[in-house]
Amino acid sequence: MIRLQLRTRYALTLLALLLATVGSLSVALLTEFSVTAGNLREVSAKLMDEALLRQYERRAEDLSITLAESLTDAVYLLQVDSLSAIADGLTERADINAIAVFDNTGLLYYSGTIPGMAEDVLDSHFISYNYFDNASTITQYRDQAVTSSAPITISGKVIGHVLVDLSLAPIKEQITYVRDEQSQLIGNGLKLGLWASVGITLTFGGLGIILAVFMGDRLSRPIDALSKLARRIGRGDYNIPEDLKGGGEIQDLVRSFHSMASDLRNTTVSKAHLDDILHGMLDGLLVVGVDGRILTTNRATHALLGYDEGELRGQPVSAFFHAPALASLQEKSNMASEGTARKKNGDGLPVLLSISALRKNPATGASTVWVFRDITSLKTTQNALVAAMQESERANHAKSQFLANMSHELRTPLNAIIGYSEMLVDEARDLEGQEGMAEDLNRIHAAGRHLLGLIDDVLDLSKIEAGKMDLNRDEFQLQTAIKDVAATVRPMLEERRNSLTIDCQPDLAPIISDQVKIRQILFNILSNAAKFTEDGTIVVTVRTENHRGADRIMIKIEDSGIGMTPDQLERVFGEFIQADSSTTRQYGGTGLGLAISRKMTQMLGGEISAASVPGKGSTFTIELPAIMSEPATVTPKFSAPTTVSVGNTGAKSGRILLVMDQNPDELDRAARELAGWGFGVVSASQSQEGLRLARELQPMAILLAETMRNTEMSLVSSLLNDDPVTAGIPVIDLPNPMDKSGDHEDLLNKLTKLFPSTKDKLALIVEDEANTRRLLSRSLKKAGWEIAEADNGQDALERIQSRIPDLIVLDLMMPVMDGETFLQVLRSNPDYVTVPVMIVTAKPISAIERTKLQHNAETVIEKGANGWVEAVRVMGGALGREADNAQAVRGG
Amino acid sequence: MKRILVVEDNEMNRDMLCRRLARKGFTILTAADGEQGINVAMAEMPDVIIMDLSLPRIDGWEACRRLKANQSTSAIPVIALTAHAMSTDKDKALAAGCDDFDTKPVDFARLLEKIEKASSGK
Repeated sequence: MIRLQLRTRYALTLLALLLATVGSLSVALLTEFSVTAGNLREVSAKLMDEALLRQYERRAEDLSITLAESLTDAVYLLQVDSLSAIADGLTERADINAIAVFDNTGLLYYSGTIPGMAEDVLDSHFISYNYFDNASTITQYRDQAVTSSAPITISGKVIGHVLVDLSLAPIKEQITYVRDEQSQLIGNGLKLGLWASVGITLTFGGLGIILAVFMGDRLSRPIDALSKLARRIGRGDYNIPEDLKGGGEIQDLVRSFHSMASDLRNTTVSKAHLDDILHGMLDGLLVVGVDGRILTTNRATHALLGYDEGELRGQPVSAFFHAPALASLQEKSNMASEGTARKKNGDGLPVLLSISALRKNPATGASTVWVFRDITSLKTTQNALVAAMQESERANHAKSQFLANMSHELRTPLNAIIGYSEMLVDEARDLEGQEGMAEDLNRIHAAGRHLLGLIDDVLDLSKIEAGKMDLNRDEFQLQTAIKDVAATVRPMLEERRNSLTIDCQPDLAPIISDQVKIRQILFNILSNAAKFTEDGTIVVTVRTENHRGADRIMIKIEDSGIGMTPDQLERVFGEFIQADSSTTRQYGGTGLGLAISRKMTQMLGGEISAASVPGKGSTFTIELPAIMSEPATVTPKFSAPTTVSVGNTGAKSGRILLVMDQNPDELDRAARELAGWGFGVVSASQSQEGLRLARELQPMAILLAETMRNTEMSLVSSLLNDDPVTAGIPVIDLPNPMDKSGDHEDLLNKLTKLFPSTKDKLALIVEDEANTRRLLSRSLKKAGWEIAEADNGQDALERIQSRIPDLIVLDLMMPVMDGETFLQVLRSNPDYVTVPVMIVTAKPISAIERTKLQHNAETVIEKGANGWVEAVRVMGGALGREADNAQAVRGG
Repeated sequence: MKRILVVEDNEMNRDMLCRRLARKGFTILTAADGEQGINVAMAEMPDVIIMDLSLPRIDGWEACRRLKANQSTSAIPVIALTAHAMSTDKDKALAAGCDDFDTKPVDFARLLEKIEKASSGK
């Protein structure tokens, strides 16, 4: 099309130009010609006219002269007849208008004339009478005629005049004729010229068309090629052939095309690159518009969620993602948070969601980019870790209990072994000839003692490592302690003939530390020194130093014993490390002493170090703060598996109780019981701590045990009243003791009254087993819930329809419709999607299942090995949280 | 001949202690729980009472308290024995009125010293 148009236009333009040029030239020429010819004609006519005029003039003159001569005799002789005859002869001539003969007085002899003309002639020719005297020939013109008068002379005397009036009309005719002839010629010339110019024009026109077509072709071919090229580029083929010819501007155009194609190629590569990135990335990416609807999604999104592009585009993004505080997530320009994505099949996918703002683009309307990562495995791992951690905490707790029990259990038979063997040694010694038996019994005794030592050490170490070792603060004189310990090791010193010197700084002030532990540490190191030295010296040096404003005690114990090799020195504080097994046999000891000593020193805020030269001796240095620092801030005394602790429920919920009891066991029991009822519990065994906690946390109520109320330390009630922050907090007496058997209806009622918000809450228990249902029901009622029951998922769904509960406690294994199915149905219904669900099940749940379930349920509690009681306790704690959440949601 | 009342619920411990003390020349009286201990003490008026603190029926602390509260028995020195060596136990024992305190397993020699001290202090 372009080709045609361009060519045609070009051709037509060229043609028009040519035609115009040639046409105007022709017209110009022809005009010029005709004008010039016309002028020439006029000029020639004029010339001819002139010439003819002259001619006629002469003729007139000649005629008049000739006539004058001819008539001379006639006039002289007054022969009028011959005069007339001669004159008539001339008058016959057509071209003669008039002849007149006059005498010299002007008397007319003859006039042969066209009638009426004589007078005119005469009038015009002879104005003055005097003229007649004139002897010359006079010729005058008058309109359309020439008049000539010649004198008739005889012997020089004028006897008359002859007048001849010659008509000039023929001239006119002649001229007109000639002019006509000329005009015709001109006309012919013009016609010829016209034809010629048409011919030339056509010729040129034809040439022009050919030229135009040719040029047009030349012109349009590159344009055509370029447009083909443009189409190719549009299709994505960026290779440009170099062979496009064309002058000047065409070349520029070609160059531009090259550069454009190159740019496009780069852009396409970039775009392809970006597309690769976008669709190759593992995380899901969505571009969301200003209106909150999805604009673009990447492949990973489709893969992760199970929808395709079409199903997602245009949908509101909030239909697919759920995260805490999602609204604020969208308002802030950049945020990341954990959340849940809804898959097509209804499952929840745990994701890490990050939303970033894009530069506003009015063309696309894009406003934010949502990137989400599947953290199912992370969550699973997290849950597994949490479970493992809880398990290890339980195990640790169990272990500590075990150790505490074992301590007693282990010692009791050992006491028997040690006691009886000792006794039998005495008895055997009394018997005659039983030294062998005595010795044997002694060995039993020694072994018993050794075993006891081991047990003590192992239990000590375990206690320290479990963090169960208590630290006492005593103020005492260090010298006294050292002297006492020295006295205790004296037998050991004497055994190997060693001497002990104590060099103590004389002005040593009393220190504040744990006396028992310091004695134990000193005893350990001194007994080691005594054990590994023979015939040697042991020196104990005590000094104080000031480090950065605090006093520190340095106790150095130097012996001249066997020393340690560098290897041995490196491992000396390790557990069960003695120099080697032979050393154990030779020197006895448990191998735990130094490990315990080091840990104890660290507990006191100090450090032990050792140095040694093999064969020469060893030096142990104990460094301690002179004043032991206060123990760290109070942690809640119990940590039940529910993880209901201070941080969890928080001051916001207000469901915290502060329990104070000086008896740690009682405190523990009370706290557990209360937590089991769904309260958040903080405990304190000292009034100072308690007051501080009361101020900080402002619990709903403070429960004081008898011991707290009556001891002189507790002006607790009055102190609480004095402080405006805590004055309003109700103080309730804690029944003593709080043991498992009692129901404590009273206390529960009192407490429940303080938390009126738990009224009007309906919990739906979905459980097929009647006993379990009763158990759960009771526990929930205790925590203030109204109860509805269903024995399977189907039943539950029906009940929900009549009233939507505030909480659903769900078992998994049920007939008709099991827990998992129920959950799916529940979550797919927009009306019920926000009801919190707590799964309480006997079915063991793997970490993966837990993750999957956790996206539809708030808590998953397994009955586990500890039975229902434990599970119910856990539930109690979780219920506390549920109530708070529901309260928060209601804004109550 | 000094008379010692041993209040100890554990049979082996009781047996060991009694035999060893008997060999040292003491006359031994026994009780297996706190209540019995109080009864025997009131009936027999021993010179020293060695009382294990963890006893059934009435525990050692309570028994000690009662003995000290009773005019007739208040003068009898009581040496408390316990497997726990925590300072709180010590304090508790002394608060209950015990005159001395020792830990289990018993260092017999030390115990003899304490018995000596307690009974001579009369």
